[in-house]
Amino acid sequence: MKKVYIILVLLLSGIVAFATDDKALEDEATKMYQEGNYQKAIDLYNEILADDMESASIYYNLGNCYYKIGEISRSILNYERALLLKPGDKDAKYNLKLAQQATVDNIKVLPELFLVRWYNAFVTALTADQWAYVSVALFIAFLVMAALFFHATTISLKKSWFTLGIILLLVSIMTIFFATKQYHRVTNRDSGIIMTPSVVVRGAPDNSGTELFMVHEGLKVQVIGSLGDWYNVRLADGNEGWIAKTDLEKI
Amino acid sequence: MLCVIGGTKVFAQKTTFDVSAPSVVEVGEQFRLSYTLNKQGENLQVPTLKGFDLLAGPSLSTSMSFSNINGKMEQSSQFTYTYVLEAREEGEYTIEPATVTVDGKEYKSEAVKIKVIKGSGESRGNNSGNRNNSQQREEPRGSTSIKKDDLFLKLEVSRKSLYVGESLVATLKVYSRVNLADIQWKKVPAFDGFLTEEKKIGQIRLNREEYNGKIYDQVGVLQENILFPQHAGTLKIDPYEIVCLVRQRTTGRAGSIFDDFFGEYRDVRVLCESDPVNITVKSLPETGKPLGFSGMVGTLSMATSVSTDTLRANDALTYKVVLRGNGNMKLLNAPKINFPHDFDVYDPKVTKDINGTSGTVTYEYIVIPRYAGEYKIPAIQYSYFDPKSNTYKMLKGDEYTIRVAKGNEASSSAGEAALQSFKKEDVRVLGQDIRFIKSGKSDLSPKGIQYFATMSYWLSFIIPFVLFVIGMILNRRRIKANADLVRVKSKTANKMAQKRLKAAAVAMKASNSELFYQEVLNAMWGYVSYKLNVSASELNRDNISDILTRRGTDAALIQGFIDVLDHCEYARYAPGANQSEEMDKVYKDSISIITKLDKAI
Repeated sequence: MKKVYIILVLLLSGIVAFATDDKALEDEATKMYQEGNYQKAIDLYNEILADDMESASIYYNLGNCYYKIGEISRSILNYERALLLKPGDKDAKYNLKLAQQATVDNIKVLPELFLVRWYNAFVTALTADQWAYVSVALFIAFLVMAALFFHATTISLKKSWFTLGIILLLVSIMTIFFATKQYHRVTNRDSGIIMTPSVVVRGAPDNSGTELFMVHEGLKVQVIGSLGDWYNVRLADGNEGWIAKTDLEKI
Repeated sequence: MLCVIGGTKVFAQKTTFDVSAPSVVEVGEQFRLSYTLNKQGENLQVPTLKGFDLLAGPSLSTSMSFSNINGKMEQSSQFTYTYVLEAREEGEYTIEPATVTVDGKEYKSEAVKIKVIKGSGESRGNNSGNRNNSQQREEPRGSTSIKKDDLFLKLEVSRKSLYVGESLVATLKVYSRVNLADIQWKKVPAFDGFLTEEKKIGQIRLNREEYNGKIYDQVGVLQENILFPQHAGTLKIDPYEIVCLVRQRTTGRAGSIFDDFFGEYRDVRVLCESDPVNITVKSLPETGKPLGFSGMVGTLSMATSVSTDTLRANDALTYKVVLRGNGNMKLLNAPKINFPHDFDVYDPKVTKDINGTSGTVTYEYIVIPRYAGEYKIPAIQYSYFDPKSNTYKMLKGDEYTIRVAKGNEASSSAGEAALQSFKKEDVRVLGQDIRFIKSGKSDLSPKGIQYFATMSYWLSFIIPFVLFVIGMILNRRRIKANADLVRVKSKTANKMAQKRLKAAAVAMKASNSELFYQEVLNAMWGYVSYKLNVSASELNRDNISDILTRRGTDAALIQGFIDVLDHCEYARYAPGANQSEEMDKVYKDSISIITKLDKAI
């Protein structure tokens, strides 16, 4: 127990030490954005990201800067990154929609069933780490229940502690499952944004491959495989093909 | 009759008093200075002609003409006073204005500037008049060769280096020392890279001019263009090509006197080409370029005005912007005015009054406020580039506050007015923009997933679990160990009691009754305390029977136990007469009770 606390304290202190420096950069970037100096703000945000720090709002703000200087595909990429970290962010969703209006390709995305949507919204409400903390807390609560169960002198107390403990254990296992889902969503990063103004999607990972169709910058595609310098991508409408790695940036 | 007409004419005709003289003469050349008056005048005052010798004059010549147009008689007369002068020395001279009195009023001519240059050696005559013949004679007869010096085209540009947006004047002139009869246009350059605007010239006037120390009698402006370069770089104006027809005397029979008067002339075609001209066009500097730069280069001033600042809703208001300046005025953009959104704004009426490169442009905006209130029309900004100082300049108009009263009730019926106030309008969308950036609370965290699926995560499950298990085991052990202690204590209870009773026995032998009873009590209490694992301090005479009853002890035994206790307490403080017997009985009783208790519990 103590060890975990020590690890947690060390982690948090590390975060605080980073944050004091980067917070100043963030404030400076906000000022630059307000003054309309978007390029400078972009540089500052990238400096923060280069420090291996990130947050949904940094990506969101960076997306705004790129939108303002007209780099739509980069702004879409950053909004998507912001949404990856914080899927429920309404501002990021709104701005992403605006930015997508400026893109060429119009591909119909099938709407999800509302139950699936609610489930996804619930799972993505917390990050993998947050779910992890919740699961640990629930597990510890379960252990407390177990201890109370063993110490209880009467049957009725024993029964209630047992029920509560089992429920806590089940919920804890569920949160571990959610954390795993979030973990895979963030680490796999199987989507990307087309960064080149116009790209020919080919039937084979080679420049001589048959030209299948054209996509334009700003389009979000799913990466389902890679070979050498090529990605195998799938569009939202189900079309698949190969594009060069340089044409795409993963979210 | 004539008198009447003449009388009427006096009122109608304006008096003019002109002067004419060549602008360039050579030293020693005779020329004429003439003053022309269209009325009978008197008292002509000619200034002192400095630098010139007066050879003859003034000689007055009069011409009159009558015309009858549609039955209306017109009479015009001309009085010309001519002086023949000769220049003495090189230099520039100004002949001051002359004055003349007509009908009691004094009129002034203009001043004339005359440049005197060194003579070219050959005697040149006046361009008009008697000496023409003699001049003709000096030319080699029948010569068809015309030197380049004698006839050429020259393209004069007002400037060779300028900024994009500025303009220059390109003037094509023909210089001729031969008898130029006519010209035919062959090729006019395309002026690539320029926007051109041709100045109207009308009749080509031939004047006398000096060039490279030579006097050209026939110098005329053939074409004048205002050029606006369209992009930066070196722009080349291609040469003009013009065919000049030069009238030359043919070789007639030599010495024939008629040649002079009725000489046969022939026209010689000469192809003239102007030199190409390179113009350096600089692009406007990027530094300090204001946002929304209008593209205007030159000088500019701006004035704004509104027709009124208090009006009723639905009444019109005129907002006027007057731009006055010098430069590419024709390309001016309308200024951007941010009228309040509730104003209806119509396209401006643009009035351009431009003469060449300078003039005024007026924009008149008619705006109609639709709702009552106090509105601000912000000051407009208009930027231009000043090539003289190489800087961008910003003009700022005035800010106006417009007070709009409620609409005119009289013009609309009461019902309509009431309706208007209930009229619903959709919220007008003025623009769409992304939402603003997030600021304030920073939620930065190290990149990637820091906790989940790491060793510390799994440890935070394992460690509490292990601790829990260890805790459980320790607890079990403790309970077990406690149970053992009870057993040990109960085992030792008898021994303890025996020890104490032995001590009591010793006291009994020593007939120390107080110590004896004390030891017996100790033995009794100590035994129960150890046996039942209850601390001695918690035990007393009142609760002992309860405790023992709970342990399932026989009521008679408990009574015996209490009797012994009572007996001891009593005997301690009130020792009886038969002490040794008493003590012996108590001793025996206590041993038997402890033995019984040991079996019962």
